[in-house]
Amino acid sequence: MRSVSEGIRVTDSQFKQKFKQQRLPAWQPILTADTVLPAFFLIGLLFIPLGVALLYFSENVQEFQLDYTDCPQVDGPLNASLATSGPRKCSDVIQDPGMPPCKCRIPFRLESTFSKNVYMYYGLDNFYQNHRRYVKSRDDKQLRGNSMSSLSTDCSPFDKDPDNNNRWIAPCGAIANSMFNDTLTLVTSEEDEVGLLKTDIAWPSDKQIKFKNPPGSLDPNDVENFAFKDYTSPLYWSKPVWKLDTTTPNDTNNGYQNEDLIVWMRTAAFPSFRKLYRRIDHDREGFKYSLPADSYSLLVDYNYPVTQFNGKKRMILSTTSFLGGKNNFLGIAYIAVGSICLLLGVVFLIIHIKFGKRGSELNINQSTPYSDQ
Amino acid sequence: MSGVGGGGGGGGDGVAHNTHSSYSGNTSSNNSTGYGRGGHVSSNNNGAAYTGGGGAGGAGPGAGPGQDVVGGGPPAGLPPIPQPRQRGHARSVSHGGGIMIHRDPPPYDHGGPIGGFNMGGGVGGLGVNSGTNQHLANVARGHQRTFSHGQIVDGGRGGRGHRRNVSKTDFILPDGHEQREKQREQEQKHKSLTRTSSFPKGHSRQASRTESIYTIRNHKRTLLQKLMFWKKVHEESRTRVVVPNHVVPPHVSPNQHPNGGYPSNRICTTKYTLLSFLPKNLFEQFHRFANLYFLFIVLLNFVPAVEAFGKEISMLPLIFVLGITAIKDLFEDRRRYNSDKKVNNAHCRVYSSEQRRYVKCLRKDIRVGDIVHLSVNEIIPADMVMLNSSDEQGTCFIESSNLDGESNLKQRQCIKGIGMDDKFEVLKFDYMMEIGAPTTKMYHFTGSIPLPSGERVPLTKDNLLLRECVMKNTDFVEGIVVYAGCETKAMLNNGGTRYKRSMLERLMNTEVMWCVVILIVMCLISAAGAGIWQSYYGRDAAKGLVPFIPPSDLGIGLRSVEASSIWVGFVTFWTFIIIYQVIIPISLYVTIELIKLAIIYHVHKDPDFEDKRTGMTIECRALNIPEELGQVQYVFTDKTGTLTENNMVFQRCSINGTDYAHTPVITSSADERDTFIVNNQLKEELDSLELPLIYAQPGSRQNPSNCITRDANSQLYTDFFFILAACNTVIVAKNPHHDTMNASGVIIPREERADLSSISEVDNASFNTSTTSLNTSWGPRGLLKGLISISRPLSPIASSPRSTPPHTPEGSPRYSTYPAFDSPPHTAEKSSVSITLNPLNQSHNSSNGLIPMSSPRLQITPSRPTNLNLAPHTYLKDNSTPTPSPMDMKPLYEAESPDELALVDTAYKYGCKLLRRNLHNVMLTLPGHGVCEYEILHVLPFDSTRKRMSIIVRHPETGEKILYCKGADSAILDNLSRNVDDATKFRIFKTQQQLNNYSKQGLRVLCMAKRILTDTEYEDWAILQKEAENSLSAREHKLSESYERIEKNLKLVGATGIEDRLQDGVPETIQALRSAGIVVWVLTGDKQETAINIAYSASLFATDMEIIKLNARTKDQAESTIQYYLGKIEQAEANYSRARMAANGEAAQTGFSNLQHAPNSSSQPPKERGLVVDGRTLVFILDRRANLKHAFLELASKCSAVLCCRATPLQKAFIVRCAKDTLKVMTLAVGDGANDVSMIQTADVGIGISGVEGRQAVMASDYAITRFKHLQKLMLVHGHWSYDKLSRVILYFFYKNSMFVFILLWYQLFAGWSGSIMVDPAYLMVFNFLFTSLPPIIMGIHDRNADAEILMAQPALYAQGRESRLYKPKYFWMNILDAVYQSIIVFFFAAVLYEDSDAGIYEFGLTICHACMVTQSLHIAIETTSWTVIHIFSFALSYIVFFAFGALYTMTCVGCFGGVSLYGELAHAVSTPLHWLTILLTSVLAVLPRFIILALRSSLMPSDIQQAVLSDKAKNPRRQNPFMVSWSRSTSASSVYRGGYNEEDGDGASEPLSSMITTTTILNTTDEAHV
Repeated sequence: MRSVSEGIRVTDSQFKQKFKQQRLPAWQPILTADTVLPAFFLIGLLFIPLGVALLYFSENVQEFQLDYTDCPQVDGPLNASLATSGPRKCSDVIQDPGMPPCKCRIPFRLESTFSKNVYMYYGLDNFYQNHRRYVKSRDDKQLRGNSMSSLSTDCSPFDKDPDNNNRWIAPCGAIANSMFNDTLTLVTSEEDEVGLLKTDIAWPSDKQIKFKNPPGSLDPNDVENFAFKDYTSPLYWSKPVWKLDTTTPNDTNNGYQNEDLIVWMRTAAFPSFRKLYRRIDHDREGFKYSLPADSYSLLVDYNYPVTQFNGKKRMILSTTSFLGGKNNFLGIAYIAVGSICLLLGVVFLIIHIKFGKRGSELNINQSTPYSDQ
Repeated sequence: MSGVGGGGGGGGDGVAHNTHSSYSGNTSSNNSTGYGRGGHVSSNNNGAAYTGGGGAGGAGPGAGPGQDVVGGGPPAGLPPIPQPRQRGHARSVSHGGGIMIHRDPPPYDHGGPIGGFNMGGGVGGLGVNSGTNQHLANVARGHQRTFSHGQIVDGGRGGRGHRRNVSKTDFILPDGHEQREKQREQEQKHKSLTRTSSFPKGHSRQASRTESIYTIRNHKRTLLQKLMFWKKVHEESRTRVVVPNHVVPPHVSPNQHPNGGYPSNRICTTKYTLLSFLPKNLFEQFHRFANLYFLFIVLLNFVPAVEAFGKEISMLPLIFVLGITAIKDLFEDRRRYNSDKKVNNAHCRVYSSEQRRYVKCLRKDIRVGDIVHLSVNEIIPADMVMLNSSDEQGTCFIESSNLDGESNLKQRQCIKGIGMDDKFEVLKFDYMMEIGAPTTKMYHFTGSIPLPSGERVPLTKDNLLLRECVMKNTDFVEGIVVYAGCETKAMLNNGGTRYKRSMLERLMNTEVMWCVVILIVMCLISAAGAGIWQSYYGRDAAKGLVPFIPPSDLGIGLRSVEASSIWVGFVTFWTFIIIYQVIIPISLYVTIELIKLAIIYHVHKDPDFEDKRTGMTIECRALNIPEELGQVQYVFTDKTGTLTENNMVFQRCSINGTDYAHTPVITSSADERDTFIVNNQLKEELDSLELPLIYAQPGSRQNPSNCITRDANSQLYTDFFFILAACNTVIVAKNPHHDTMNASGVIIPREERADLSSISEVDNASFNTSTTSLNTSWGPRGLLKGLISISRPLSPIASSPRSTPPHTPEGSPRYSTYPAFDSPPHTAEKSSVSITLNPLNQSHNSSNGLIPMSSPRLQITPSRPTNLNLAPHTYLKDNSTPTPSPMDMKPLYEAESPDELALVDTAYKYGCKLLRRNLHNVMLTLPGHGVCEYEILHVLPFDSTRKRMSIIVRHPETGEKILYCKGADSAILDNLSRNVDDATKFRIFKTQQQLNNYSKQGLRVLCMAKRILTDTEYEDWAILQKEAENSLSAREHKLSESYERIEKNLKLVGATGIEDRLQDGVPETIQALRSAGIVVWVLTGDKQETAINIAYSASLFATDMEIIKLNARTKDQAESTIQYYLGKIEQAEANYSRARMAANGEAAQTGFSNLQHAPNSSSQPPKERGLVVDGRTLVFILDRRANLKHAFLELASKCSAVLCCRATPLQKAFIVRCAKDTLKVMTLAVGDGANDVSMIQTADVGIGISGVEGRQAVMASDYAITRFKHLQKLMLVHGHWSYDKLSRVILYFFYKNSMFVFILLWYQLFAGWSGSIMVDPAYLMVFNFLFTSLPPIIMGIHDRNADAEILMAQPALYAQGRESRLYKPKYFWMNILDAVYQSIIVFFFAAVLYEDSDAGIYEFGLTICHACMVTQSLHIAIETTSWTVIHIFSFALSYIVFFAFGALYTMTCVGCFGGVSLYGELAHAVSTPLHWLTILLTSVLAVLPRFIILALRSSLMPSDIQQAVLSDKAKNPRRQNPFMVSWSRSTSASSVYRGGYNEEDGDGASEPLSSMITTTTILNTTDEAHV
């Protein structure tokens, strides 16, 4: 034992010596053709199969997108003057204040059966959720349920409602204020409603840590205990935060913990983004294992205006793979880079064969008779 | 004891006794009969007189003061122990006359002193007597000789015990005395600055040094003066009054104390105090542009409209940078604080008026007005006016090299004329002093002491002892502090440390400026984008219809869309500056500083820089220019001491046309000087002189062979050795100086020290009995002793240690700790030791082989005991050389130049021993004459224009006045007498031939000549000389004219050749430097022939080189010569380039091109050129009016080696400056001495050789190495590496920061130019510091593009740094371009993959961050040229930190920094395969081009370094394997053989190869040594 430890100590002090004197054993790679050759071939051989696999997985993902930005109003009072021109677009309708909610119905057909775990997304285009001041316009403390005397100035001007005794807005800020509030429902060709689950669409971590309702009851009738008694709802909202989801029992999806709110509050990285809206309820009869290929209709309670900023709204149905959504680009990119590397490998092989010898000859020549000026 | 009384009578009694004993000495001395030659019998009277002085001396310090100062404690307190106090020191030796026996206590055998002494001293004597015969014999001889020459002072004076005369003018002839008196009068009249003109000023080298340093200093100070301008006006007008503190009653409050207003001696060089650190440090740091920039960003972030991210976060980088720098500053300041503390708490001795003695005291407690006691070699603690010296002349010497870099000794004098010239008593010094206000002027001091009589005693700089100087050559001095602490000249002149900014850093700063430009452009683009984007949504946003633009947002509500978008653009511009701030690599500054620190650390740890002999290693004083070492283009080197050992060994001499060669003996020890073997032929010649020595007079010596020629010859031999021994400024000390006062102010009797004093005690002790038992003449020696002690009447307290043992009244409590009986047994013991070692025969005690302990440097080293211990051993060794010597030990010689030392040592070896010298006498043994004492009439000191020095002496026997002259050959040969016979002419011719021969061998030559002056000649000249000396105007000129008058019609005596051996490895090093393409200039003060030969032997010039010599005597001549050579070279070059073009054409056809083109196109011609310029030509060239500088430099730049001879230090500095400024090259200057300081400071990189010549070059240098050869590794390896590493790290930093910023820019395309960032601000801020800084730092420290062995073996690889190939503007832009490309790849690929997904902004941001990090790590991995464990560790650590930080920040931190919580983002991100796939794809694709380009370049056109490494790999495939190493060693050994063969061939073409291989061999052998 002792000898071993001594040996270690010796090597240790040798290491220190070598370290101090900069004489540690070193590997000195020089990127000559022959040394880089394996790297290129390795990358090529790694990337191309990977790309093929990725492409395969991506192809397996089924996705259906439906742009309903300009969907026509149904069941609404026809504008007399424009009767001939057909139903008005919901996007126009909602610009008139005081109108009842605009409803759309967009029939579509799924050409293929979507295998189990189909998700429904809404997609927005040209919506700059990543705008600097927009991103900041929130109060995480409020969302964590801390009761507070004042809100972060980041929320301004969506922190107080001037029309409502300057009450604090819950949740404050531009993000919350602009929450996506279309209601999307799917009906089959038989007018059966496709089951959509509104829970488990947000990250558990968000729901557990970042979003908490303030202490108290979410029932406004419980005046004493009402958690939001000093608050009012955001300006654009039609219903207050404590009424976001009254159907889910125990208010687990209500208030700040409403998953739609949570999902919305995770601001997107790009102006075109999608957010998970619902999960298809595969427990229902007929959807046990899939969303079968069929004709469906998308029923929209059209509330959310996007045309002012040239936005688009989409409904997306998608299955998922381990990669997430459908993403052919990744596989293609991998194959392309792999191919380039293989090609480079070949080029360097040629270089090595053609110039490698000369190079070494040169080296020997160069190292010995160095030219003195 | 009754010593007081006895001493009192001693004056009179002493005469009789001494006379008697001197007689007995004469008669009884066995082996030194020669000394008692007839002529000296007559001097018995003198001897008597002398003795009288001695008696008085014995009495003086002891009894005299005892009577004068009633109750003066010290004499009473002296224990009855022999006090060898006055054995003294060089000064007293040279001035005080016959003191070489001074280590003996005062005479025991004389009536007077004995009276007091015998009783106590006898105790020791009795015990020792029988055993100390040898010593006694020695002593006896010494005494006798002294006696026989001690002829000067007349008896009456001595008898009277006239203390004043004794102390100042003992041994001085009456006329000399008068002279001094006159001088003193002059001093008092303020006319002369008390410089004794007859005192030799010093050696040329030194002299010119003084000049140069002074000039440079002056130059420097003008800047300072400008700054202090307003202050100076006041300074001139103010004077201050200093009162000795002991006259002020104790416990006076500082307000009322007359000296209370002056600062204390505490020095404080620290910049900060505990309180002021933070504000002051911050203030200083914000002087940096970079930090100001950061502050600006931080403040910008506080503007709400502009605010880009959390205020706290935005401060992170600033706090980081400030913190690191503050810590660094704190450490530096702490170091200063510690050194201050050390200095402040150093001990010194201050007179305490309460205790009436000197007490130990801390330096910081010294106050103005304190009287301070200084021992020899003590550093002067404050500026003091000198009051008293142990030296008879009242002088002492200070070495001011700590202060101004001048290593020569400067004489300082006590104040004269205050009635204390003969005896200084602290308590009696109660004068008020008026002194000038403190100034920075080092050599300016005025003041005066108003006497009660109304007279004023002037104080000049010659009275001032300056702080930081070292007191030399005097046992002790006492002085009163006039300036303390921060008012001392040393502190006022303390300019602080210099900050050198390296070229790389300067370049870097321009690139930083470019970064600023890029930043502004990016911000402008982004701001424009923001405005346009905003205007797109303008009206709708105003109506609140755009949900992502808050209605209250920027510019909303402005009248028009245009206005609002312009406003938005304006505000976002500032936001973008905050966001893009990282493109300015602020962390770069800190990082580079850290890297350089580490590089210096490793340089310092390099064992190759260690000097095995001294154990010293490299000293890196400048921390921030290691890379400049790798970029040097011109090396300027001193020769003496830098290329050579500065260890002068006498090699050859020519006496009267006969050449005598000597074989040098080279010692390996650092403590010993090289020496030589005595030439037998010359020895015989000299011995033959000894034969008829006893009775013969010099002129009538009998000789078996031809009498007449032999006589003339022998006279020449004597003259030759006389010149060697005496014609110089050597100071003789028998023993090192020692002050008996110990550190606590207590006087310690000699015996307490276990060194040579004990031996001398033996002598003393044995005297008592030996006087009777041995029939030898101890008398003279005793006389001398007496003289010495009489010579310095002292203040009771100060003198008590020296007041000799005879007078040791009991009762002083101070000495009670040293019981009287303690010492004698002690000494007895000691003596018995030395006795056993000593051979009985005293005549064998010649110290021929004795190691000369005479180097001034060696003397500084506190090796006193060593010296002593050596002596007995050498006695044993030296039995072979039976030269009778009166000396038991060789005296210590202290010379200002090693040449003089070598000559004196040589003379000593041949029995011509310089025994003592003072201003007016020189005593030496001459072969064939015995001990002679010559009276020195004049010393004509050395100066660099005359290049010679002379000494005029009166021959003791014939009374002839003889001028002996020693100097450069040209200076002597031109002044030889013209009308001589043919034989003499022939001899001169022969000597000249031999001289040429010597200089061809690279020896330093000196000529010796003499001239016998007739009385009239001398008188005439002396009058003129005196006039010149006294003249007030143009004194220097008149003096040199006067010198010229007398140094004529000389008769050649001989010549010497002294070798200054080249240091080890110098030729190899110079060869390597030249192979590295560095132009080497050697700047030397030597003569041309010598210099050229050294240049050849140092490989500066090769045999096949064309040597161009510029020896112009007029300006026009210089110009025409330069033009001629320029034209010639141009023509040659034109021819060559034509030939080369043709050759190149062929080369192109064959497809081979010379990749290793020579660095300077001008140095391409077929034949290399070397340029030799002499000092006089340099004068013309450097003359601004001549306008020759450019032509000269052009010519010089076409030569690969330049040699400047006879260059003064200032010329050296000018040359360096010219090259630096005109040629715009990187210069390195290397030197060892004070004469190189200006050159070292001028050059970009200054290297000091910490050799024998002291520290001043080291102090001025950036790096101090021990040997010249270390330069090779320092530059070729460490410099090379540093440049390589640092330039790549800097480029990497630019790339790294800009790449990240570009990604942020691209994101604005997708974020509405709003200034949104996908990365959390915290990540953004720490990204550069935490995640990606470690690998580049490690690369900066540990990367090595080629192994040291390769770089050493192939100096040509240095070209990379020399030509600054790595760090060029184009590389900066290429890196920026690469950054753009990589950012595009990383960002857009990720964007495509993440767009239209449900990924949040921070998930995307983390992916980008991660991808950036991986890409940047890959990038630096590609850049890394050598991988060690540390590299891998650094990458791993960075990665771990990335995740650790991520985990910490996203797992635990909910809502930190007030920003958006990233909770769970990282975990989510890394759990998606897309994250990893994106990173893999983008990072590989991002670094691919760089990888391809690097691979293509290194495989198609590898750099020379890569080639070297590759071929090395091919040769040694597995370097690490010890087996393979041994194999490679064997192969290199074979190539060495080949190399040696080539060298023998003398084939010029093969020379570089062979030298390269030689270097390899050196390396390999060191390797082997390690194994």
